[in-house]
Amino acid sequence: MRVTFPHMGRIDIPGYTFFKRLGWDVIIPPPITKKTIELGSRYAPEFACFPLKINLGNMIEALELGAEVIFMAGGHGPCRFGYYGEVEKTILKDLGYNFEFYVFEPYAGRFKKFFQPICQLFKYEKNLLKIYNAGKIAWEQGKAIDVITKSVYRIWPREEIPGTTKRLYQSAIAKIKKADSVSTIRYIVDDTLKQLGEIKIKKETPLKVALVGEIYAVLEPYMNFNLEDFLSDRGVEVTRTIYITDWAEEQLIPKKIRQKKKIGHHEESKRFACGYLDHFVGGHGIETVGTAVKYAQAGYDGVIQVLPFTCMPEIVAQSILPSISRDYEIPILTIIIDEHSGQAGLITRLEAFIDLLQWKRSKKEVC
Amino acid sequence: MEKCYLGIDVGSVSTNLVLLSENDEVLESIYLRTEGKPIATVQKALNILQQRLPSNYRIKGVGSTGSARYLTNVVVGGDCVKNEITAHAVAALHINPQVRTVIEIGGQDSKIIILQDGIVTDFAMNTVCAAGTGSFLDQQANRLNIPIQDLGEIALQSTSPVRIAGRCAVFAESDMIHKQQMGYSIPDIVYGLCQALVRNYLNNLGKGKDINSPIIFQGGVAANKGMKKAFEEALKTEVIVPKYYNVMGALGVALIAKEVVVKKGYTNFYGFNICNYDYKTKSFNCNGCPNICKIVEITVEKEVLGRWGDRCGKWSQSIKRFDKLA
Amino acid sequence: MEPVVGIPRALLYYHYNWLWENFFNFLGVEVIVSPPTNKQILNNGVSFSVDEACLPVKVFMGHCFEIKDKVDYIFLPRMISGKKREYFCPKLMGIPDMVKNNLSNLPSLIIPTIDLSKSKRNLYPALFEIGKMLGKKEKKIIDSYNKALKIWEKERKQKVLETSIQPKGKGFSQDKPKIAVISHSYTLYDNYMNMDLIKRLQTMGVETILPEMLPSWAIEKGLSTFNKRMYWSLGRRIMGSAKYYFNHPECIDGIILLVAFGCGPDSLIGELIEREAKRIKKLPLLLLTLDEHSGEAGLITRIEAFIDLIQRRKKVG
Repeated sequence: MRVTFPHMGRIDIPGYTFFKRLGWDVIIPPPITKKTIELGSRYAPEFACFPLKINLGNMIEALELGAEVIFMAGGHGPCRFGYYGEVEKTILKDLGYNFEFYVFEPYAGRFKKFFQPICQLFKYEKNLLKIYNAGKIAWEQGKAIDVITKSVYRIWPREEIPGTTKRLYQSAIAKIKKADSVSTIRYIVDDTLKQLGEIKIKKETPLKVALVGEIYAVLEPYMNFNLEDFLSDRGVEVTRTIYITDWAEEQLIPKKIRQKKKIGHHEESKRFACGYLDHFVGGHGIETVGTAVKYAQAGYDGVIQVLPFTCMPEIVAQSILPSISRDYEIPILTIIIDEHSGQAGLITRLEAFIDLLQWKRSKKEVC
Repeated sequence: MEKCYLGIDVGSVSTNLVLLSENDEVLESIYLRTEGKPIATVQKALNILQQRLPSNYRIKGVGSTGSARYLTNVVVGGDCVKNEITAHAVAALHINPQVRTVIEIGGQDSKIIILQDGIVTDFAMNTVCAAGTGSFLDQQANRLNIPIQDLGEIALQSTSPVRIAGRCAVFAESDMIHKQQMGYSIPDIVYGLCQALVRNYLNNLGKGKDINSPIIFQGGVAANKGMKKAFEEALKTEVIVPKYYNVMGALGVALIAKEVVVKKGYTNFYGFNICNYDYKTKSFNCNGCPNICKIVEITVEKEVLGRWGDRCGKWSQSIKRFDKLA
Repeated sequence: MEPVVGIPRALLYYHYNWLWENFFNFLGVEVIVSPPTNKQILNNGVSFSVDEACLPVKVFMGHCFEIKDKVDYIFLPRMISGKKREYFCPKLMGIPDMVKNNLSNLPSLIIPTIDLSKSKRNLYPALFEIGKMLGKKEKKIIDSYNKALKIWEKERKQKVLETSIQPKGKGFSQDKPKIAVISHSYTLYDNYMNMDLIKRLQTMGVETILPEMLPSWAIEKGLSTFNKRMYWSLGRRIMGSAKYYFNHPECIDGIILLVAFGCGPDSLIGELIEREAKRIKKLPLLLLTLDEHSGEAGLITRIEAFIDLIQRRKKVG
C-alpha cells in the first residue's frame, strides 16, 4: 500500500528510507509550497496553529497523488499537537477522501490505541533483523543530516567566497539521501566535515544569534522563510537549539539509560529557566525560555524566537522573554508566523535586528 | 568642489530625497508621492534635484531605504542599502544624540524604536493594521471634506474630544460615522480620532517597551499637530517633532552612505544621466514549482539589472550583480 | 493582624471559588476577591498582556492588576492537572510566570503547584506551602481544606440538574426553547465578557442549560463515544456535554457554543463539535466568538436569529 507522512524539516529523507525498507510504497508529499498552505488554511480551523494547516496541506497533496495510508505522531497534551491527528482525520474524511490513518502515541492506558499503529507499520516486514536495519539506517541518515547542518551553519557566515558552504551542504544532503548503508553514511559525514574544515574563512568573529521557539517553526525552512540561510548569508552565525534527532532521542530513549551520556535538552532548559518559568507548559515553552537564558549567559549577541500564531506554550514563553532581555541586556526578536505573514516585513525586521546587534557590539568594543 | 551625499527613501506612499553636505547639513529635501511608480518617481525627484543643485556640488555617495530600497539601489547605483528602521534611528540620533524613543508613523506602516546611549536596543514595526497610518488619516480627512494639512489645526480646536474605538481601522471608521450622526462637532471628532490612534499605537507597538524621553516623533503623520498633542497627553511628556520630520528615513540613509563612502573611498552613483534612461520593469510568473512566485525583472537597454520575488533564488541569484548588492 | 489574601475573579476562580475562599476563611485569613470584570479591568488586562494571549488570560491579568495594591498576598495557583492523565491548558500552567513578568510592584505571591496527574497526594505539599507562607499549622491546613472541599463538593452537586439530560418537557416548559450554552465556566459566569448572554437568553424566553448542570456520568458517557481521549480537563466538560447531546438530541433544541478569542483548545474542540453538528444535522448549533472588541449589536442579532430558527423548527417538527 502507498503510505505518506507530513513534512517537517528534512524528516522526509529518513522517513522514506524507513518505510521503504519496511516494504511500503512511499509517497512523499510534494515540497511545501504556497499551494500547500492554501489548501491547508482553506480547510483547517481558522485559529488552529500554522503547523496543523501545513500538515493538512501535505496530506491533501499526498492523497491526491494516490496515498492510501497516513502515519503521523501524536501525544497526550497539553499542547494542541496531540489533537492534530484527530482533527486532520475528521477534516479529510469530511472532504471525502478514502484512507487509513494511524497516529503513534505514547502509551496512555489503552492497549489497542497504542499497539494498533505499530502492528500496521510492520505488517509487511516481520523479520526483526530487517526492521532493526531499517530503523538503524534511517536513524543514521537523520543523525548525519543534523551533524552536518550544525557545522554548516558555523562555517557559512564565516566563508570567504559566498556560496561555497551552501553548495557543499546541498551535495552532502543529496548523497545522504541516496546512501543505503550505515558505513556509506558515516563516510559521507566524515568527508563532508573534512571538506567543511577546508573552506577558507574570515578572521573576524561573526555576530552570534540563538534560534529558539516552537519545533516546527524552527525546523521547517518554508515556515520560517529560510531564516537560517538568510542570516548566514549576511554573516550572522545562527545556533539552532532544536535538532530532530536530539529531540527524538529524548522522547524515545528512557531517561535512565540516557543519563549516563548527558543531561537532556529538556532537563537542561528546566535548570536555566528556573526563576523565569518554573514549570513545564507543554510544547517547547520551557526550552524556549531555558535556551534563551543559556545563550544569553554564553555571551551571544541576540536571540530570535519563532512561533506559529496562537501557539500556546510559546505565548507563555513570549511574555517571559522581555524579562530575560532586560536582565541579561540581550536583544530578543520574536517572529510570529502564519499564512498571512509576508516576507518583506520579516526581512526589514531581520535587517534592523542585525544592525542593532552590530551596533551594540561595536559600542562594547569601543568601551 | 563641495562634496555632498544623497539619501533616497522610496516607500509605498512617498518618495523622499535628502541631500547632505560634508558637515551633515541638509542642503535640499524633496518629498514626492510614489503613486505606485517607484522608478519614475525616483527619476523625477533626481531631475528636480539636478536643477536645484549648485554647479560646484558633486554627489559623492548615495544610499537607499524604504520598501523599494533594493530596486532603487539598482537604478541609481547606490553605495548602501539600509532598512528603514535603522535609517530612522540614525536620523533621530543625528537630530538628538540623547534620544530614547522614536515614534515613526508613515503612509503604510508605523514603528517604534527604543534607544539607549546612542544605540538601538529594541524596536517593533506594524505592517498589518492600517489604523493609525498616514493613508488612514488621509482617507478620513477626505471623508470629512477637510484638506489633510488642516486636520491638525482643526483637532487643536477641540474642547471635549469624543471617545472613538481605535483598535482597528474598520471599527474606527464606522464609529466615527456613528458619532457624526449623533451630532458631535468636527474638531471633537477629529481630536478624538487622534487620541484613538495614539491609544492604538501605544497598545500595539508600545506594549512592554520602556518609553522614555527625549521622544522624537517623525514620519508624514508628525505634520499633524493633533497627533503630537495626543501623544504628549498620553505619555505625559514633551514630544519633539524635528524640522525634517517627513524625510527622516532619507536623512538617515544619507548619513549612512557618507560613512560607507568615506570608508571605501569611491561611489557607485551612475550620475544624473539615469533620469533619461528608459528602465523597463516586467513581471512574470515562474512555473518552476507550485509556489508560482511572481518575479519582477528590471532592465535597461536590454541589460538585466535585477530580479526579485522568487523564494528559491533561481532568478535573483542568476544575476551576478545582485549578490554584490544584496 | 491577619494577612489579606487576594484572589483574582477570573479563570479557574469560577470553578473553584467555594473551595478557595472557604479554605482561606477557615484558615483565619481575610480574603478579598477582585470585583466582577468591568471595562477598566479589561483595558488594563489588554495592555499588560502580550497581544497573542487569549481573552480570558487578558482578563485575568486585569484582575491581578486590580487587586495587587489592596492585599498582602495574591493567590495564584499553578494549575497543571486535576486528575490522572489530564491537563489544564499551557497558558493556565504558565500564568503565574506571565503575571510575574508583566506586572510590577506585586505583593507576595502564593504559587502552589497543583499537579495531580501522577498522584493525588501531590496536593498536600502544595497545601503545606500555602500554610508555611501564611504561618499556619499543618493540622489546621488539612482540616480547613477538608472542610472547604466538602462545601465545594456539595455546591457542585447542587448545580447538577437531572432534568437537563431528560427529554424536553420534563422539568422544563414544553413551549420554551431549551438550549445548552456550552463553554468554559470563566466565560459563562463572567457577565462582562459574555455580554450578559445568559440573562439575555432568559429574557428572550429561553431555558438555558449549562455544562455544570449535567451529571458527571453523562459527561463521561458522551466522551466515551469520542475516538481520541480528551486530555484537557476543561475541554472534557465541553466535549462531553456536546457529545452527550449529539447522541441524545431529543433532550434539547439547540446548542450555543461560546468560544473566547485566542483559546487554543477551543480552536480544535470547536471545530470538531461544529463538524459533528453538521454531519448529524439533528441539533442546530451557533458558534459565538468573544473578543475584546466584539460589539453587543452583533451578538444580539445572532442569538435572535438563532432562536427564530429554533422556534420555526419546533413549529414544523
